[in-house]
Amino acid sequence: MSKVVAIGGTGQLIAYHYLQLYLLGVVQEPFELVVIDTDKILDGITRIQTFLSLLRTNEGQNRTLGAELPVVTTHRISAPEGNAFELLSGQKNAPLDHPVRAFFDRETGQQPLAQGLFARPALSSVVSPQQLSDGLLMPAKDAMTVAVGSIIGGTSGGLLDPIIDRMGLLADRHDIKSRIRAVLFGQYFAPDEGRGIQIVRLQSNELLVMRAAREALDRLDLFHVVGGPDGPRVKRLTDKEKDKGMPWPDSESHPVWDGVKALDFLLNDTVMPFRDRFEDREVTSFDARFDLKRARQRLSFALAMARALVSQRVLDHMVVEPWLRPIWGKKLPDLISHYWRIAAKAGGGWERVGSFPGDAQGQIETLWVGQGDDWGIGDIFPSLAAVHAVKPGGFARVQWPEVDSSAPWDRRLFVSADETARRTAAVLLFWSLRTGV
Amino acid sequence: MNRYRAASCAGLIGGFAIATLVYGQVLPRRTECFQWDQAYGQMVLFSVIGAAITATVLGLTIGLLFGRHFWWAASPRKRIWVAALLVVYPLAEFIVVLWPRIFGFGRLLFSSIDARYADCQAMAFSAPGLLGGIIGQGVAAYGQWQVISALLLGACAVGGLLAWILSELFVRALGLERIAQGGEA
Repeated sequence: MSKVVAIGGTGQLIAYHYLQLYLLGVVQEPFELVVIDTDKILDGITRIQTFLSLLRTNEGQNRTLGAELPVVTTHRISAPEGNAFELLSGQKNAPLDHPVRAFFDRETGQQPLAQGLFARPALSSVVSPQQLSDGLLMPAKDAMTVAVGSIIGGTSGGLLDPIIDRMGLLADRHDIKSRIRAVLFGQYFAPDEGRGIQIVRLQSNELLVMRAAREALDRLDLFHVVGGPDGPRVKRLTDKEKDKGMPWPDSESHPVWDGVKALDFLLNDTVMPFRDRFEDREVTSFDARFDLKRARQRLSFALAMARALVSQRVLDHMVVEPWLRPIWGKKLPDLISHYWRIAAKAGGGWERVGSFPGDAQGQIETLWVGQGDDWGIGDIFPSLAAVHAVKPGGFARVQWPEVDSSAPWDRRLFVSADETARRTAAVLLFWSLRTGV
Repeated sequence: MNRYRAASCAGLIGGFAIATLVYGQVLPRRTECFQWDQAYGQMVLFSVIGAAITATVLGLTIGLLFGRHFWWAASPRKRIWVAALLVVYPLAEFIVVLWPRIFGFGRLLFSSIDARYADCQAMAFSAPGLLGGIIGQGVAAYGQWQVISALLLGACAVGGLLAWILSELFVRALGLERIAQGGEA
């Protein structure tokens, strides 16, 4: 399974979109995702992470019925109290003759770390010593490992090169054959001068990271640069926009969308050879496997399907349906029956799970809409006003997984009938989103 | 002169014959009314039975026909009542009650009943009543359209109820729960 290491705010954004595309079935292959940031992990990523864990049929495996699942690990680097001077010299304002003065100017050294790194990559080495375990950064075996982040920001600007370098070392140490690649974001948004971040600092960071990469990263196999000095500038999403229903990029050439496509290309390309000269390893153009129009179309179909599953109360109809297969097909009734059997065993007998389909239908609604401030799966996606009309026959055309009744199920996951109903709801939403037409 | 007399006489006789014919059409005989009323009453009876059967059959099979295309048809309980009350009943009402008033008797479905039957409702002809004399004896069936409508509605409701009971029995025998209980997890 290929691996994505998403670093910093931009890395998170790209990872979030890539996870969305996986859930919509635009991206078919599962992948391992590690998200690293000094800032808060996006709620959408956390929601998808918990959703994927609900789909598992066995605690030890990342599989659901009919598919292997992505593995999502998030790691928030905890910023210590105080500033760099305080941490390294013990004093808030390090004496002028202290060695720390050789590495940090006064402004950087006095920056309160808990408030963020404010596009100062040097600070990431102070806030993140030894916080990233080998397990987190272990490259993918016999597959691609792609790091994603911005080279102009504080967190990823400071961590991208060290992380890629460490992944290379781990690959050598454990004899892992993995091609390590990167999607690097140069300047692609107008800097927020109000926060004291000037454009000259972003340019300086860009130069620093790329020079360090050229000089130190022998193992970097391919990379794609998004944006840069001459690239287009877009408006950066506000924190409010990154909340529920985060909008998608609005054009094919949007830097974020370019980054998503580049990530997909670098994860799946097996043809491009390794080149000796660092400059030759840059991928300037590639054939993307999807475009924004197709992705939006899938989004529209998937949302329509999931909304119909919720609003039409499909399971309530099915439980009183004498013509199950002519209307709903073979696989969907088989799938629900399979989980009903598990619920009967987990719940202690058939007489206690008579309302299982109704319970699962209720869980579908809860999962999709969310409860209170908790995100629903519907909140992960942009809100579309108009979606396709879905007919009941559409559910028979969903590629529901084949049920193997003899396959073992993990009692540690299916602890009760209610929990089984919740996991059934997750599975139905998952396949409706990914393969609903 | 004689030619004028003969012509006047023939005119009088012809006029009398035409008047007799016209008079005869406006006022049918009682025996005719009785026969037509019997035929219409029998048609009502068959329609009531037919509506009940059709409502049952359509209530059970409409899911097969439209279940994949419409959400109301994918809902077993809803579609039974849709079939009975919104499809079969209006259709039966149209055929039995509205058709004779719009298109008249004497053709197609009502070819066995004369077009003059509508005039019988103003006459006393010992009408046998509906459902073998149980309802409205002495009143022409054609004039009892409110009762006929209620009978058709009731028949459709009974048909729907029967379809519902049968549907629930099928679900118990072949439904999702039975499929689930049939396998082993």
